Amino acid sequence: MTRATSRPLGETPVAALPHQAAEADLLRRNGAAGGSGDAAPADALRPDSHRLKPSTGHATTARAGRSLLAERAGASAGAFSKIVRDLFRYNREFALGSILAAIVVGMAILSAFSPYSPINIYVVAPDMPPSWEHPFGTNSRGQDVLWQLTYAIRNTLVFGFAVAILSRIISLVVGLLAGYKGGLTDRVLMSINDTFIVIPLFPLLILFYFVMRDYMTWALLALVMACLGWAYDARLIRSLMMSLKTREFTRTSVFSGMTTREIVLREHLPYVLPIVFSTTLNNINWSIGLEVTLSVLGFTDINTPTVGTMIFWANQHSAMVSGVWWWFVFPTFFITLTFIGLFLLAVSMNEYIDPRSRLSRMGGTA
Amino acid sequence: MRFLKTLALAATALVMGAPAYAQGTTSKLPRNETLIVENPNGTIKNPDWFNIWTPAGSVTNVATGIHQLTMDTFWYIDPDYGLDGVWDNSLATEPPIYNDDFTQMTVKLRPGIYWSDGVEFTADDVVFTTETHLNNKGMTRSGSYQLNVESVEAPDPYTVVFNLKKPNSRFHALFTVRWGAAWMMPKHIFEGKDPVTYNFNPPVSLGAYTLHGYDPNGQWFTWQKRDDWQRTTIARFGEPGPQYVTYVDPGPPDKRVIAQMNHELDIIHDVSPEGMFKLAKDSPKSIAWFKGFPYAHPDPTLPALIFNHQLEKFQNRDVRWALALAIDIKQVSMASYRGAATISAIQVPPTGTHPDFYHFPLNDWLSEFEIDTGKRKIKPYDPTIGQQIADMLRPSMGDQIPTDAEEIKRAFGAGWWKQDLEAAAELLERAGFTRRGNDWYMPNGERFSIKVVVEGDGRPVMTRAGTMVAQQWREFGVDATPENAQAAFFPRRGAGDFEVIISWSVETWGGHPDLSYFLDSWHSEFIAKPGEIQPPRNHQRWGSPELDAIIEEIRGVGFDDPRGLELGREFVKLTVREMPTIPLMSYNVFTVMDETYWTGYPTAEDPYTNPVPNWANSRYMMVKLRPTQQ
Amino acid sequence: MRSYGIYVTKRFAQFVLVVFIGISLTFFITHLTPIDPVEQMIAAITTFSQSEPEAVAMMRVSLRELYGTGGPILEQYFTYWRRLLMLDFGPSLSAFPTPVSVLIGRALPWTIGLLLTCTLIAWVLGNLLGGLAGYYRNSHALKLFGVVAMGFHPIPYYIIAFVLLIIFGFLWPILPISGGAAQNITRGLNLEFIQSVLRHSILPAVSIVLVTIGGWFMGMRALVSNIVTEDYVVYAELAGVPRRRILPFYVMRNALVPQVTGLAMSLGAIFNGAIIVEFVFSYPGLGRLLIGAVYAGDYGLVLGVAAISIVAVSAAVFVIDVLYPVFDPRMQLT
Repeated sequence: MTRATSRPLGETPVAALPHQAAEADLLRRNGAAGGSGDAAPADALRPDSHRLKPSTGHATTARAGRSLLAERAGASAGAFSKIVRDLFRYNREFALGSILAAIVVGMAILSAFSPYSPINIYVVAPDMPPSWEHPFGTNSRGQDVLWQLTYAIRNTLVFGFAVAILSRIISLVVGLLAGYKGGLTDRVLMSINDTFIVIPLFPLLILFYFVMRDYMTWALLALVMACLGWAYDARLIRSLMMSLKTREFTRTSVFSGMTTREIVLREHLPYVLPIVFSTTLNNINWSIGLEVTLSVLGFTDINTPTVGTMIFWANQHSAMVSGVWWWFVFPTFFITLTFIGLFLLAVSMNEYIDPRSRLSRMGGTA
Repeated sequence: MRFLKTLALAATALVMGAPAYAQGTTSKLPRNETLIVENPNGTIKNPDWFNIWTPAGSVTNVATGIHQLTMDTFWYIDPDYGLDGVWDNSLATEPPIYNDDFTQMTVKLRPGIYWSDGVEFTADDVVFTTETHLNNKGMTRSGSYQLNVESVEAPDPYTVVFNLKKPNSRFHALFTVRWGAAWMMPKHIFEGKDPVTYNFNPPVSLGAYTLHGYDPNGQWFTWQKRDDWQRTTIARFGEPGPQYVTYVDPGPPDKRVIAQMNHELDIIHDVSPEGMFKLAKDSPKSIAWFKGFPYAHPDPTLPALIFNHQLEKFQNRDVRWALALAIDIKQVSMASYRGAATISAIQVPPTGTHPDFYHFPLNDWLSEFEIDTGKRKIKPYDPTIGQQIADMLRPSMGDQIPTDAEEIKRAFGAGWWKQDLEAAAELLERAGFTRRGNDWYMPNGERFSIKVVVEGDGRPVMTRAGTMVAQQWREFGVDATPENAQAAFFPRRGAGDFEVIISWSVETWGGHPDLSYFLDSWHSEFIAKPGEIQPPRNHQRWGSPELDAIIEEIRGVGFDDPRGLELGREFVKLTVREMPTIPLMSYNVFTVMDETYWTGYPTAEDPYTNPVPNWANSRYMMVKLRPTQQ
Repeated sequence: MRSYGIYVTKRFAQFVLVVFIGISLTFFITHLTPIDPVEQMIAAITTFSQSEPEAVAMMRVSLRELYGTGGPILEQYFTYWRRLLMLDFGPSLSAFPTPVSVLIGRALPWTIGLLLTCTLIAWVLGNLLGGLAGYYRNSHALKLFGVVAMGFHPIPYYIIAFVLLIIFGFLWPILPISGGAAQNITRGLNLEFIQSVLRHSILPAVSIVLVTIGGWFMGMRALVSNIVTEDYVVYAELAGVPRRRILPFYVMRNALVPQVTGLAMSLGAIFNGAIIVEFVFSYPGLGRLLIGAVYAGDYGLVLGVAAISIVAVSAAVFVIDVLYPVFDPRMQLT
């Protein structure tokens, strides 16, 4: 039962493909296709969490999780860099993910060195295909696509993360509270929660645009979307909490005299965190997708370059049929890169955090 | 895996199973007898609503073919040169006959005109139409009838007399088609029905076509030539060519280009400049109004930067002039139309017959026109800017750019105001503005900022123009940003909820020099209080006693009186001095026509009517179109 | 069983509450819009036609009277609920006097037909392949499929749709790119019409399936690969149960619970329409109706679509919650 902690991290075997329950709810949202037609599960209970298992398994997992947290808390900066180095060396997903993320972040940082203001048009000759002078070509508005894209990637990333982090906070608080407290608290919170789930998002965002007008900057849009985009995941976290509560190790912890706070933080958070990570990724994909959809229809601040507004302007200039392919291919390429990078990172992080997946790998049954 | 294969097989079978539709997928009608036209109103929510006399019928359910092919009224004014002159007596046999003080208008009707169900059109229909509007409030033009008409009578089946409540020398404008007008109602259909709630389905036609079929989801409407087309007014010009005409919603601009290249869309209403260039380059059968650059048909509408005169910062003429001089129109033309714009320095669109009446004769006056910057006098007009735009485009566009100076003037416009940042700065200083660094501050010490409201993807070209102007003002030191209003654009324009809006407050007949079409509504008596809704079209809410005097005099002279043209020119000179809005260019519409199945479209070389297919005037096209494939 | 009855009752009360709050919120938010349907209509009418200022003023007065858009908002609110409880959505303001329910009724079959089919196809395919990929983790074909699905998932939907459209409607024009069916054919239950509808639905359907299948695939693969390590699966394998029995009966069955939840949720969300699909392919569904209504300030229509969507999604959530204890008896009823 102490196998999990007795082995140094670096010895985690490298698996062919990432696989753990946290992935279950990954990529479920199809924000772009359905507008508000999200397909995230309301109660994606992890099936393993309510199957009968030998109780020793639970005890093992619980202790593994707890000791892991303790280990992480005690990790110094040096240990941290060692972890990263080991992950990098032994975990292919982590390595690839970090490289992709670095490329994308590098693009975003490049925006600080742009020779052109992102809102000015006709600063270079329009419609030039990619060349040494303009590696990504120039668009029909006389802007350099590379530099324009650096701003777009920066803004889109900041936007996606802002929405994700804000909505994660709300969904964690609501989900944990409702799931753990139950009863009236749960009913009240879930009624609010469900209201947010059922209200059709897309017309709402458009109406917000009309009401807020030019105050509808991307920062405000991020805030609005964070306030609208937490409900699914809160429900997910709540149902996870509810099932964790019924499990044996929770009772064991209660009997062993741990406080509620300790139980939630030490025993349950390790189970919840992977969900949070994967929903974060989901949420980023969803918010970026929705931003693109709104932009394509012209309902965002068209003066701020984002991936969505780049597609908006490309569309305004019939770039698709007039052969200016570099105007939409590069943004699409980078948004895909961003997403795959984040996905791989999330997957490898989850593996690192989720005690069960580490156990399963060591068990060798996979 | 097997499931996937089955699915793939099934899909392929489905695609291959219907090879008959491989090309020309849109319809079963014989393609060589069908003209397919874009309906710019898109998909119609309530396609079974053909009652064009009600508000719901006159917003979106108009350009479905119903007002182009089945409606008729007394007169048509062509926005271009017309089949037989600009003025066409349609249901009337002669122009309106007014009494001396313009309180009575008599109309002589054309005999032998029949509704598509075989009933003759007579004065009874006119009287019924008029009285229905007088007795019902909820119809689109109820207001116009009720304001003007005291009574209507029909002394005989082919004569109608309108007795007016007050003198109105332009009352006939109600029944004169410029895009649309007040259409005649069939008495035998509407009698005994509530004209506000009756859907007029199936519609009875007074034009050469009648309804063949429509999509219950509103995507297309097909009209069929009447067997008795000879009993309609258009028959004077010959037999209409197409047996069927389909008006269809082809989707966003890129798809219109694709549809035309697949020869599934004969007339594109409008497309982006880039889409136009693509068709000019890769679709050899596609033609446009101009054979080469700038292709587009200039509509008699004048997009301008409209100031809100109820805001203090725009009340000083020097400020408005300074902002005009801070603009480089060549760049605006490039950014908006990629150079394919027809520019205008004055408050009359450079379209139809207007250049001959206004732009060219006023050239000398404009060239000599001076403004006082406070430090010196400058002559801001540059008559060669149209030429400069043509020269600027020639290296990339080659021989698509005309070389003849006269041709260039008509295609690209004559001149405009020369960008002069120094003079602009002097004007602002004279108005009490101060400059710190490059930034301008208003006399009250606040930063001089301007929000330029644009319409967004509803009107992409104007959105681009507004973005460019904002950028130029920014470079001049004004804190200017474009603001995308989307669907809130028109309500905001009406409510005066803007600083500067890029839109139009000038629309004209096009073919006729009379300006009353828009100018009458510029009278100061109609200016709304701040916060209240301004009636169209004086969106700038600008008034001046001099202008009122001009308008009042125009009201007193006849439609064709030569004095009207003189007054029109006085209006132009007044607005050049005052610069109430900054006129930019005509509203150029990239109407693209495919000659694969049809020839005889109107073009600048044969400008018999406006090709822009949502104009009711485009009905004249039908009699000139001939099939290329029998 | 009695406690289950109480649970369902409580849950139903919550469903009613959510629908009430949802519709009320939407009512007030839609009425906040600065787009006035009457002004929008007047602007559209006067943009093209000559109009005397006094005549426009008269039109404004009579339109306001006709549409009943005046009056205090609370009064309108109560009127709305009174009508709604009688299943009357009132008239559409931008297509007056056509009732909102007629407009929705025309668009709904297309939306449901396209989205229901696509959602089901994507769900079945995604889960099937995902399950296989989770179980047979060394299959190269399935791995490749995973990578492709991954790559497609984040691409903005608009781009995928348009690229498909350009390939099959332009470069190799074999499929129709606009509308729900061909023009001028008899609508109804005849082969020609059905074939036409199917052909017109291929591109929109493929584009929807392409972007959504990845989500189901990933989810199922992860769930299955997690369950595979569970002891009871290991025991089954050790006990010699054939692998082709283990995957469907031991593994996928358990993994389906969250996937069915997701399916129910996305089926509920169908009533929002697929805005971009309909926009790109000019498909005659609810999404475009909704956008058009927002543009026109036609809040009667916006509310009508929103109300249907709210009821549908809440009902989906309700049904899932009611069914959960049946699937999972260990759940505590609250």
